[in-house]
Amino acid sequence: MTKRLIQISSVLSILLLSVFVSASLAAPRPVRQEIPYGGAFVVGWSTSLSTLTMGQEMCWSLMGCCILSTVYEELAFMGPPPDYDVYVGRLALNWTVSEDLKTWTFYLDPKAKWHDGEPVTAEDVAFTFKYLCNPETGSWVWCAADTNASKIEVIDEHTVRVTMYQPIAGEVPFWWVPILPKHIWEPYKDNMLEYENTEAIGCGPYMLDEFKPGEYIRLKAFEYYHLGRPYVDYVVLKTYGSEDALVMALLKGEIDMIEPFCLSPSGAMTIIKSHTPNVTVRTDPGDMMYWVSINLKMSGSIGDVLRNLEFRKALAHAIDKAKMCEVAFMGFADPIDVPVYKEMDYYNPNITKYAYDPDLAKSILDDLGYVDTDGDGIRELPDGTPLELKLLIVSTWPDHVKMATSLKEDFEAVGIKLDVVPVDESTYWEIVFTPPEESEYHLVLFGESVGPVIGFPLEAALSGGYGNTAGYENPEYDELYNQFVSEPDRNKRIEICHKMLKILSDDLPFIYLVNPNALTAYRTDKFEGFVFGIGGASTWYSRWTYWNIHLKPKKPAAPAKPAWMTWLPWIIVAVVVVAAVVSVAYFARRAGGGA
Amino acid sequence: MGFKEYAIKKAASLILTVYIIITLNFFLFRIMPGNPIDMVINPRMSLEYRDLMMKRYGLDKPLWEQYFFYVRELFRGNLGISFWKNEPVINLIIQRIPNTLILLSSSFVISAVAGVLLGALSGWKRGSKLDLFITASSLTTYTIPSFWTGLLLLLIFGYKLGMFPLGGTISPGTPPIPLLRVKDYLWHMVLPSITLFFYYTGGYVILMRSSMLDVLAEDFIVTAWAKGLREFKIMREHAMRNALLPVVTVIAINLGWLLSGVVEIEVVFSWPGLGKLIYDAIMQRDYPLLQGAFFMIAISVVLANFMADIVYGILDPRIRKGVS
Repeated sequence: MTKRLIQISSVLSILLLSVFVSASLAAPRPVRQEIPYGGAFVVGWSTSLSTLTMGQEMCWSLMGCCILSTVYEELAFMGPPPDYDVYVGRLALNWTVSEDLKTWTFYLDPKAKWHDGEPVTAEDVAFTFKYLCNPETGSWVWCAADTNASKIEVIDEHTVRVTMYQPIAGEVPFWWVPILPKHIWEPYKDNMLEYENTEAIGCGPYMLDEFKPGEYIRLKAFEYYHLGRPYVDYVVLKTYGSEDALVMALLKGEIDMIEPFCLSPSGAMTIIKSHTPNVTVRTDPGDMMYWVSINLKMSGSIGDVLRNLEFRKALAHAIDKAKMCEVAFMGFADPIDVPVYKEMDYYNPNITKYAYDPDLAKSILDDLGYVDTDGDGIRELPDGTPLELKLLIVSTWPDHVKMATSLKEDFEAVGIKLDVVPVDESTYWEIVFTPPEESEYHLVLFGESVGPVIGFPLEAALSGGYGNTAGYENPEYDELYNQFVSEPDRNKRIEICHKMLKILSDDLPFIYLVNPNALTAYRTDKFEGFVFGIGGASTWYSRWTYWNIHLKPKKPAAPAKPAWMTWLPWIIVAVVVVAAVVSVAYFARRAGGGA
Repeated sequence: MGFKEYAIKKAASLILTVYIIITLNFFLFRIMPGNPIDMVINPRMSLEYRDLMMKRYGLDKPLWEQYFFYVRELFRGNLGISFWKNEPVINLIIQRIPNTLILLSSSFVISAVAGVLLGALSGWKRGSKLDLFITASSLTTYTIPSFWTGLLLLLIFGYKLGMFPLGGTISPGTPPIPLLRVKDYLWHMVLPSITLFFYYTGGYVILMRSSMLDVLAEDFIVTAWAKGLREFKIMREHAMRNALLPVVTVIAINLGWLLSGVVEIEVVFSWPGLGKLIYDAIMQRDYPLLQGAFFMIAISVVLANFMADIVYGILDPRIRKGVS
């Protein structure tokens, strides 16, 4: 009995083993997927570059900013979403900062090279800061508080130290300035704008391959880029004259992505409704924030009305921001209460909010004594002056026109007449920077491309600050702002920002309106590695998509095997099965014969 | 007055017109609302930097001095520096002129020839089915906005059928081999050329037809018939030649406008020509660039008018021989 059991067990074991071996031979081996190199990533734009000089067009245009972060490189850059205020070293591996936040020492990557093969040194950095960021030799577009250095020192070949006039907190000085090769630009140091820069030698991940002014820029991967060669071989920034052509190009497959800034809500809707396979539109918070400034310095009875906080509250309650998002932006916008994104830690959820409530607005106005005495639908002040406000907008900005239309409807629904005054852009800026006490406009529609740079919109409420068209003055707010821009500790900055936002929401010098979405339309069939955040997949403070984009790995095909290898496992199984059956039969017969 | 006197008179008129254009061009941008420098000066800039910018662009000088400097530099071929691009305006314009001239001149020549011939034929065969067809087609292509025609062609042939590219003059990545580049350029030029052909031809057909009808009612045509001349000879040597006079004038005037490009066509087809440059300059409030472009266009129109007058003088023997 035991002997028979052993025999049967042996046969079964051999059988199982053969099946296992056959299965192993027949199944394809798993292949490790790696990020493939290659391809040309084509991005469609509605703007173009006509020149590669380091002037206004390069610094202020979005395509210029794209070149600055692809062909050129900065010392550091804003971190990838959502860590915008955590600066990441690019040309500088790391840096140290003094306690007073004025002296910064940068340590450059010794592996960094220019596209012509020369090494990047501290001399290049010092040269750039000294000559490019000087309004007399370079261009004023590179001059700002965070590029205003009192001293620039070359410590050694890869170390440079800058001493700033003002403490720099929450960012890295010169983070947005491209470093230029001294050996090429030095002959033009007395007038940097004179150099046409047709070869655009930088040290960024891409080299200039071809430049057709007004048409396209073709960039080629820099093989010796110090942080590793980009995955794609080429990046092409192609300009289209109209949004219709841009949309068609994406749907056809001629381009892989539309630069978010270049796509309007109607263009996005066209793409969505086309239901084209492998094309999608993604919405993210946009760069722009819009608000209405209330002139607190205006003279006369209307000026007194504007200075009345209760009246400003009535205005805020009268505005239907959700409707504005639909009317002006086809739903691709979000209402805002303060000029800080809700996703950021700097946002204060405990601010005072003014929900759309026209009945409450009317009630406040009634309590203030502003009633419609003559039945024309417009309220009057106690002295009989009609409650009419003038709103300044730019006539050629469609967003302004549509938002103003929505505001007019809302205000007139509560009995306030809004006289919308559209002017050309040049006149608009002239008026905006006229002192508010000299302005005849009660309200100004203002917007700024803020992005995650918190300081920009907060500065608008600073006494005499850029964009303070309201003439708002609050010493407590000013003090907090000064603390904010000089506080190195992030958590403390957040706390200060919360207080500032609470003050703004309580005092209401500005009524914050909407934040239009960033719309990224892109194809999903060829590339992956898009990095989305505020501003979409690409904006002036986020070029991570260009640094990360790569072809989608193709699914590996099963390795081709010779024909006999395909049949071998089955032959083995067959032999083993037959042998097993014969063995069992033999042993069974022997056992039966022996009994 | 003979032809020589006629030409001298026209030349004198040309010089005066050019001077008026130069002066108007200078003052036009200075009487517009707003300060152009506000478009390029960062409001965060200190007064010191602002003054530096005013000095750099010569805006700190008295107006008469700025005018003198402007006229002097104009004669040196200096049209100023673009506010936005920091490049000499003349360089930016020269960069774009070839694209505009190549596109428009080819369409222009073909549409002028086709327009004249079709118009003459239509007028000669007045009342026939051929006349009806040509007139109806011309009216249709002439009245439909060119940008609409362009968008339609782009949609059908560029997008749906994929036969042509959707914009530009060259495909990125085209090897730098002249033959391949020329081929690619011509391929990109097809749709905008067809759009312009439709647009221009319609106008010339209508004008030529109208002129032919006027000429065919003249007595000398009846005389030609009476003399027994062949139909083709009457049409070509008597009718067409006389009917051509007003059409030549219009063609010459249109030739002057070639430099301005056709903005809507260049925008629709993303054709980087002078028209697109002007459009971008308007959007960016780049006044020096606009000023320079307007000057070039005005001069080309005036010169074209002058050439039209001279050609008219040659074609019309009454002027050539001094017959009043």
